[in-house]
This record gives sequence, structure tokens and C-alpha cells, in this order.
Amino acid sequence: MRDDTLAELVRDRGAALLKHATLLAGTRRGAEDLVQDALVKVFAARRGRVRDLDSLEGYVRRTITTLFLDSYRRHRRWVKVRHMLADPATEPPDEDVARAVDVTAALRRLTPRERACVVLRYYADLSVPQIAEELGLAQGTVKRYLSDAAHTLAAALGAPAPAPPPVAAPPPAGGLERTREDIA
Amino acid sequence: MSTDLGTLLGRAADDLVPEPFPLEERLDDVRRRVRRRRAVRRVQAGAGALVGVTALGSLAALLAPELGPGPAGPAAVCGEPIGAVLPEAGPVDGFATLQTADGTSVTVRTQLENPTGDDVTTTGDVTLLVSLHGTGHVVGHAVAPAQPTTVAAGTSGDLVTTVPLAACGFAGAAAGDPLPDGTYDLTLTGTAVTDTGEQVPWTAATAGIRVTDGAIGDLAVPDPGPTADGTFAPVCGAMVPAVPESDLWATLAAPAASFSPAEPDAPYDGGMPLDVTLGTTAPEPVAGELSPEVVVVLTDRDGVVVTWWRASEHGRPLDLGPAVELPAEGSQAFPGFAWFPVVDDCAGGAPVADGDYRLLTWLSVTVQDGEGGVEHRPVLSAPLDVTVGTGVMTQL
Repeated sequence: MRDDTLAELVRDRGAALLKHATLLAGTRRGAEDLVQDALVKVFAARRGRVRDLDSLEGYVRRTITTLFLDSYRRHRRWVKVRHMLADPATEPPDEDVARAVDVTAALRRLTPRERACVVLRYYADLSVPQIAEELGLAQGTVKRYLSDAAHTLAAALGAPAPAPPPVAAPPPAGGLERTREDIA
Repeated sequence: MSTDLGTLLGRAADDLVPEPFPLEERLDDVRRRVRRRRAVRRVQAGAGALVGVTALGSLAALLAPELGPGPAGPAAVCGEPIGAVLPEAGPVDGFATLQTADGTSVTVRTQLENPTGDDVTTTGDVTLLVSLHGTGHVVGHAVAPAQPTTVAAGTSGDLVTTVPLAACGFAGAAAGDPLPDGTYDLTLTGTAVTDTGEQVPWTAATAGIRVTDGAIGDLAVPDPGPTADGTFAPVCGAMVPAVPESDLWATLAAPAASFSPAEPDAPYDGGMPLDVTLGTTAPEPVAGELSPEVVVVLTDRDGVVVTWWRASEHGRPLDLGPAVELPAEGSQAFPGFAWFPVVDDCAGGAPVADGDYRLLTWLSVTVQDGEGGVEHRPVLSAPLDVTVGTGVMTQL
């Protein structure tokens, strides 16, 4: 892929890609590293033939998610020291920063897979089948991650308990209760 | 909730990335890394006769199997274009980073990427080929053993090797002599075995090295000195790099009496945790994030770098950076935020030699700049005086 395509993607879609990565990574600096690594991976690939920006953006976004999950698969030993680095319980002065900190702090309570599913479903607006394909998971597994994550986030953000994610097929008779059993 | 959560995530994303073109500063770095990776692939697929996978054993036989610079390798390799002596490109490749170097050897960390559906395990020796930057002629090579590394399917893994560095008798340097001053490319190659027993070659290249008066430097690493953009790159045996002056300060404290050596890739499993206190002399509050990236540097009492440990090179996850909320002219404690393995990576992972030293920690604080953007502020802590006796480190 040509260098001017890279520049065009960075200029036109860089903000969107960085926002996606920031919700996953939780910090701006970590997100910038994620996006940079993904761009290098995609543009250095021998088989890169994507031309339109929409497809390219989607390809880079999938690579961002993969790299994010991969970093946890390889370095799980850091999880045990997470407690040493908990955020201090102080009130940030700025409302926007406070809101962002609340959401990112809530996202940090999720497992990496749950976080990826939440960001892809509620921020990137993908359907359950699309998420399943992107992450290489069964649709039922995605639904379970979304359900568990939504309950965790509801508790963290003080919101009411969530409804399960929409399913591709019409819900069976019995409505919500049957759907929850299906997810569990 | 789904609508609310979508809205919350959207607003949070907008708050965290308010500027319209946030990645412009990174574009040059991306271009440089892409060119480096493409260069490795071009070398692999270059013109001229390519040695096939089945002939890799013959290549290994041609090269000196024992350690040490020693006599040069066979004439068939020395002076040949690098593309003519590398194995045919396989699915596993990567790029390598220079860790340490003295006049006669280099320690290199290779990140191998395995896009296949099978796990692969490296096996056998690693071959280092040194070629002239620009012409690609092989001017040095060596072979060294390496610990087998398994790279799971679809992931990447690290391989660290120390390989001798010497001329092979081309371009004016006698065989076995140190490399003359100049700029060179380093390419490493080896073999990996899949779960099904298939042998596949792997190749990785560094960004290149420059040799100056016998000292070896990584072309990807800037010279030590004040770094306004937040990069911090200590060099073994050089003065610790400076950082720009700011109103941020940091101090270190050790939470226990003594600390024993630990595995650099297993942080907080032994070793030396460090409590960090971050403060400001500014008359107004400072709010932001503390980057999870931290570099702990061990120097002698004169400030010369003995060794260092960089968190991101040892798998620190991307979301462990805590919030920074400094009151005006105040401070904030971050218990156990930094860590040091109490081993000398510049000396190949040996215990730190007995003596008196100083520990410093480099941090980066990201703050809003008041105009919708963010600013990365590097901070180098005050030194913590320590002493080492029989490998055990204690605070003075």
C-alpha cells in the first residue's frame, strides 16, 4: 500500500481509530502505541491490497483489537500486580475528564475479552455475529461476554441492570426470561 | 442501557481524544517502521539465487558452528549480497532490537510473529549476518546457540540472543577483526518447528547499527540527551540521559530492607519494587495520567548507566496507568509503581556487581494542555542511593 494512503488514513480516520483504541487500552498513551503498532502491521503486510479508506479503517481497527487481546494473552503475569496500581480515590476537577475517567475506570473492571466485546458492540456498533467473526468466537460466547460485562458496568456506573443484546433471530416465546437462560 | 452505554462510551472517547488529528506526530515513526519491515521482506525475496528451506542445513554447515569471533566464515558467504544468502521467506518473521553491545558481541531481542495456525518453536542456533548498509554485501557473520522459544499461533514472541560480532574479511577488514567504523544492517535467521514437525525458516532485521571508534550504537535509538518528545533511551556505559526541566518532580523509596535478583520478565516476583512520589512546584493543580511506561536506571555514583529496565519491554499491559491528581505545590504517592530486577542486563543478566549505585526512574505524565490537546511531560526522579553486596541490593 502506498505511503500517501497511510497519510490519508492517519489524517482522516486517525481520531476514530485512536478513540477505539483508547476505550480498549484505558490510557491515551497506550492507545497511541496500539494504533501505531496496528498501522505498521497492516501497511507492512505483503498481502495488503485494500484501497478504500472504509475497508482499510476496518482492517486496522480489527488489528488494534487483536493486538490488545494478544498483549494480555502473552503477559497475563501482570494481572497479579494490578492491585498495586489502583487509581487513587480522588475527585477530578474537570467534568469531562471525570466522565471519561469514570467510564475508563469501569471498563478496567472487565476482562480483556469482555472489554473488546463491549467496545465493538456499543461503540463500534457491530452486531453479535459481526463481533463473533471479528474475534473468532461463537455467537453464544459473545452474548455471554456482553451480558456479564453489561452487569459489571451497570454496577460500576450506577445504571439499572441492562437488557441482553439484540439477537439476529426473533426471541423465542417467553421473551426476556428465556433469552437470559439462553445467554447463561 | 445499551443506548446509554453507547452514549457514555462515545462521550468518553470524545473526551479522551478531543483533537481532530491526534496521530500526525506519529506518522513519521510509522513510516520508518513500515520501511524497516518492508526492507526485511525485500531482502528475503530479493534477486539472485535464494537458499531454499531444505538447503538451510547446508548454510548452517558453511558457517562456523562454534562461538567466538575467530576465523572468518567461508568465502561463499563473505562479500555476497545478503539477499543471496538468506533462506527463502517463510511465514514466521519479525524485527529485532539491539539491547546491548560491546566491541565484540551484540545482544538482540527478536520479536517473531507467527501468523500461522500452528504453534512454532525455535530450534538450533541463530545466525547473525552483518551487511553493509546500502550495498547489502555481507561483511560479518556468526552463529550462536539460543534458548528455544515457542510462539503460539497467531501471536508473537521474543527471543533474546547474544552473538559475536566480527568482520569476515571483506571491505578492508581482516577476518576476525572488529568491524570498521560505518553503518551496517544486522539480519538474524534461524529455524522453527511447527506442531506438525515441519521446519520453517525465520528472519528478522534490526534498524541497523553504526560503529564509531569501536562503539556500537543502534540506528533506531537517538543519542542520549534532553528529549522533548518524551523518549528516554539509556545506553550502557554512557551518562544517563537528561530530561527537560519542568515543574514536576519525583522521588523514590524502597518499601523493604533488601532485595534479591529476579527474572526481568517476571516483575514483582522478587526484585525491588519502588514507591514513587510525584509532585509539582506549580501554583495550580495538575491533572492527568501517569503512563504505564516506566524506565528504572541503575547508574554508578557518577551518573554512568550500569543497566536499566523498561516496563514495556517486559509486557506491562497498556491500561495500568493511574490517574494523576496533584494539588497546587503538592504531591501524590504511587506505591510500588516502578520495579527493578536487581540484575545487570548490560552484562547479559548477571547479578549486579558489589558496590554503591544510584537508582533513578523515568516517568511520563500526560496532562491536558488547556487547549483541547494533551502534553506528555517526562520526569526523571531524584536518585535513590543503594548498595549491592553479594548480589543483594539495599537502600543506603
